[in-house]
Amino acid sequence: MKTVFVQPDRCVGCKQCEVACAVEHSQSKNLYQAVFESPKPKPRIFVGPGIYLNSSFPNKCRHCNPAPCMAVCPTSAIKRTEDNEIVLIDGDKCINCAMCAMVCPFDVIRYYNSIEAIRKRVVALKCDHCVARQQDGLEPACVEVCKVSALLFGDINELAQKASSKLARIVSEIDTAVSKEPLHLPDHLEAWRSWGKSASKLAKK
Amino acid sequence: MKTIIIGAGPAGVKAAETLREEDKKHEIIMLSSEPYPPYSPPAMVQYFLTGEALHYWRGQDFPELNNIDYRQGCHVVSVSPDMNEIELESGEKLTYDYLVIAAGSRLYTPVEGSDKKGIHNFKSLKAGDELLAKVRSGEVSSALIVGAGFIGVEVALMLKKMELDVTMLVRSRVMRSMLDPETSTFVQCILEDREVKILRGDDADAVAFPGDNAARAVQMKSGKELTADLLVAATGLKPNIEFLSGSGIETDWGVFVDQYLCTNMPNIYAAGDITETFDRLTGERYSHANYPNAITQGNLAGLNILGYGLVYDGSENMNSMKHLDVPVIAAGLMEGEEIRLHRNGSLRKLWVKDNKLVGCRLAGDITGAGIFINLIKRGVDISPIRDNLSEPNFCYTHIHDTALMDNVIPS
Amino acid sequence: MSAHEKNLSIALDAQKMLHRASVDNIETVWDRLTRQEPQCGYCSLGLSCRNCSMGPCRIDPFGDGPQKGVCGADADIIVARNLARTIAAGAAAHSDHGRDILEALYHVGSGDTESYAVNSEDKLKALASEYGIDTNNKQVQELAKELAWEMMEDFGTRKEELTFVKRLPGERQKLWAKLGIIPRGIDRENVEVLHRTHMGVDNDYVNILLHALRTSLSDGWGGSMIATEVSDILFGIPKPLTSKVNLGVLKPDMVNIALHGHNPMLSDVIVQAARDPELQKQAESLGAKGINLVGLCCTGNELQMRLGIPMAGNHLMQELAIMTGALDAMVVDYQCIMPSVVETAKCFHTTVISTFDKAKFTGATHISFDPQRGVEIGKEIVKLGVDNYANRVPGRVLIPDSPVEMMAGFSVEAIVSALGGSPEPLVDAIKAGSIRGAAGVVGCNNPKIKHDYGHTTLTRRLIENDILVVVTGCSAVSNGKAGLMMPAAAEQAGEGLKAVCKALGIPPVLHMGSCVDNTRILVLAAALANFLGTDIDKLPLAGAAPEWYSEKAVSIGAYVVASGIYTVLGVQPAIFGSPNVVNLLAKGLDDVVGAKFAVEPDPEKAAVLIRRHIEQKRQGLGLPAVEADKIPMPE
Repeated sequence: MKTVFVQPDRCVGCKQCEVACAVEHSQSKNLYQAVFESPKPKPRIFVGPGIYLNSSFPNKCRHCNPAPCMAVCPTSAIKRTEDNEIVLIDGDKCINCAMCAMVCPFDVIRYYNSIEAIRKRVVALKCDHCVARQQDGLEPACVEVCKVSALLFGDINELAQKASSKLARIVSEIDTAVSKEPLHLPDHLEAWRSWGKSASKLAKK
Repeated sequence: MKTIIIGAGPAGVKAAETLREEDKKHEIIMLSSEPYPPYSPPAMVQYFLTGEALHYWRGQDFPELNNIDYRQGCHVVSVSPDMNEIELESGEKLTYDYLVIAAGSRLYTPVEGSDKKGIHNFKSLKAGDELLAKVRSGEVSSALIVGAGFIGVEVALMLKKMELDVTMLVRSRVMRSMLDPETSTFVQCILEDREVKILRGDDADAVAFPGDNAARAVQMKSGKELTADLLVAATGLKPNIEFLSGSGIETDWGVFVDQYLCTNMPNIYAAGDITETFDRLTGERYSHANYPNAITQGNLAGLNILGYGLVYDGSENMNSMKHLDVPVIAAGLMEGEEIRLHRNGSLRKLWVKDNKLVGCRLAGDITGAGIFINLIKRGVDISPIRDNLSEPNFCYTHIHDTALMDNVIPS
Repeated sequence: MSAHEKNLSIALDAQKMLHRASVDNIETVWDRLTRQEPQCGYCSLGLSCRNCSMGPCRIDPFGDGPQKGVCGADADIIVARNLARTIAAGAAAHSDHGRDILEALYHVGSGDTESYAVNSEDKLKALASEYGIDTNNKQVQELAKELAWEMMEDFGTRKEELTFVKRLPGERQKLWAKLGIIPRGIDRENVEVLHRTHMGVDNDYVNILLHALRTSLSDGWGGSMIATEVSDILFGIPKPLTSKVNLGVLKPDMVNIALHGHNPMLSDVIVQAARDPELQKQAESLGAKGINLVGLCCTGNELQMRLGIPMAGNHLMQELAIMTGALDAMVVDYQCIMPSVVETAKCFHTTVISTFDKAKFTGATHISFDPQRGVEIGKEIVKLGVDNYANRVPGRVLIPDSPVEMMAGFSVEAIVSALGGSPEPLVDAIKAGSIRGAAGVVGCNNPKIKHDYGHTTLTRRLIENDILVVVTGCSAVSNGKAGLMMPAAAEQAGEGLKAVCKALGIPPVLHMGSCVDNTRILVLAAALANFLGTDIDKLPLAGAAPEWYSEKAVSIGAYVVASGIYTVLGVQPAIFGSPNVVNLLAKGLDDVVGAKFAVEPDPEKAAVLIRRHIEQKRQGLGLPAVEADKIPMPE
């Protein structure tokens, strides 16, 4: 199974993944046209702040198994693909009830007018792991634009075999696809992060 | 093995589905009092407004596909646990190895004369069909709704979209049991913006439905009468437990169940709106009639019939009104220290007790609902993010580098 | 008030207004910051480049992704280019402000304005001599015109070095000459930054940074210094006076007009206009007891130090001042005026009036300022404020605190005069060790740092340890609000400093003016060095900008360091993407210009960094000193 791994310590909060995701889910698939589309394409990955300045985290659907969103969907609009275990939302079936948002502990479902629903009505939107791109042999749009390797795309087993490589650390956290182990950061980055930490702690003094 | 499931709502369907997934040979009989394939109540509004049959959430052929003996329009009149037998209105008797009571709830109206003709409700697809038949007849142009709970608001907004002149009678305030006064006002403003008339106070405190055979009006505590072409009662819910009287199955408000969702009879389980379980947060006996609880309970009852022996975490008080374009989510309690944020037309109210998040009411921007509800469920110490909770952009990512992350579990 | 509101600011008036913002659902700068978070790491590390359309480019700071822009620029070049442009923007802002004032002096000299006049003939003559103008037998007006003309040459390209460079110790002038960073023309250095940072021009990060320092010096010893000196000629040399500070200076029963921005030209004529009997009468006819002018930000500092006009608040108070519901007009000139004030004003009756054609605000009323018709325009502006008093909603007026007293007006001339006409008593106190040294605590507010916490905490720790503190800009306002700028605050100082303050009757924290007036600190430092016959970097001095936000502050930091004064920044500049640039600025520069930068957000720690530095400098001068390492760094 291929999935997107997150290495949070590497995220610099540039939000390029959000832009790429929105463009990928637009009608034109072109940034300069996408911004003029109606409805405006929306990202399904959300780079939010940490509790300290200079920290951030790219938050997206983990395609949980079992998926709580899928269990509570009152119209069976949320389904799992059989082949590559992606949890998908069928916009035509979604009634915009937000049951899924209530039970998603990662808070990655949003509601917007969508080209994927009849009458472009408001429906639940979330990461689809770029199903269409994957069929063309491409990696998800967010991974492609991430220049700091905060987002990686790969096969769990392949990654496990690369135990000696720098990717090894994330393998032990496969269950949630998020690395919890702090990475060793270069000194100048450590300085950048620690400024954020000290500045944020001041507020509570 | 043979299981009878009384009820074809979400809890019954989930129980059947779980049994079938795990055991292909299990004999399953499912009884529905309504004349339809199993349907999903939250999708009824969409169906009535657009005609899209999304409420048949597992497909109209769900019984055939899952090899279920499905009987619709079928009323159970009694249960005899000592003989593992139930009796139907037709006189037919059915035996079982296991029984799942998932008969749901119905309208509860403490207003005199509520059994009279001419009073509509929206608690079932059948009731909805009758209500809609009246609306579509073209004979009605106004509606009077008694009660401003979840279903009252749902019906009001639906009828408004059908261009009726809608008035709501609100004894105290809109969605009083679910929302704090401020969020309640937020919802009231949305209703008023959509031109639903709201009457409050003694002049809106319904005490009776006067009328000889059919109800002709609603009478208030003040003595004043109001009427409309369509009278709708949306005053509350009551579990359908009458057929259990004399069976020896322990009931009070609803059907009593233990931590395995088993009744006092070892092979009889209950799930959904009819059960009286315990609240996950307070531990108190309660019946939180909502869709996610019904699904969880149906699933658990099914698994426990198969011998998994799984313990129920307790029912959750939560609901969303978003399908009516009312972006409001309510979960948990409304007591303890209040954290409030009012920004850009959105309201976020959180309640913290002993450093634990115990409740949330979100209106407008509902971002964060999933994480708040998860934190409420886990009952963990939220000190590391305490000060961030009132920030406008608080979201999941604030906890990614705190110990709280270990408590983010999809379940 | 919630814990959150108390986490944002230490000031009671700010906390109360933030509470109102929360209850009334009014957006503030802090909300917008949280909405912006996380802010882009490439940008905050200085690793993104938008200079050409082969880009935009960014460098992966972790080293795996792209390490060069499309043109081939690496992290060092990109960070250095970006920093140089930041400094140029800051220097340009100060210097353009200086030019505007200089033009007013030229109008005075040409006799075509009645709104301004030479206020300080002494200063005019002193400067004229400094500029090599023969002052004998010349009328004031003639002299004003000649001086203005000569100063305008500092902006151009005909000079090989700016006139004020001569104020520096000879050693420093020689050092700059050796490094090739003597500023030549104010505009020239700025233009050259833009040229050098164009693709394919200067591709040596050290060379880029040296020019960036030169550009900052064209601000500190050029544009800003001209702004300060010419303001003194036109509006008077500040002298110590007592005034008031915080939102409590707004009056519930008077027409309140806030003057916000940086340039004193406009506000000076408004003060004249507000005295107009017609306008006073009109205010009274509307039920007001008169017209109350208050300052905000550096326009406020300019007015407070010369005229004693009360100060409403610093940078982060601008939206909150409107939220009192008591402000009838906010008159803005330029710099640090958030575009958001127009939106905040919409929630109340406040009229925002913009005045400079180079600084317009959509949604504000624009009254074009013309120095030749100054007072006439001033009256038009005041009238708008008075008229608007009628629209004030008394029920929404919430003045959150009562004002605090503070002293202002410590120009170099005033300090020397307080010392009895010579810097000697100060030098003696430093030599004896009763005063360990002096530090400038300056700069802005930044919502990333708890409002006023950085300024006041650092200042307190320094005076407690016998370090005389001089302040300007937003720092002056925060320390004034904290009560540290009255002679009585000497009690909060260490024994040595307390005794000196008491003997002279001065506060331990001296208000030296607005942010262009940081040049007064430069002049004082140069005067002390000259008096001792040494260079500035040998003196026990330090600078700090605990809450800085603006490009101007980067330029200030750069000219202070290049002038030889160690500087601690509370907020990170966008340079951390290049370890080489960081090493140069935080280490290597010490061997080049005798001073360097440090970054430390915690003011408790910043105070220790400064104390250690000052003790080291004392040791260098052979003065009694404490072993720097013996001063413990707090956890």
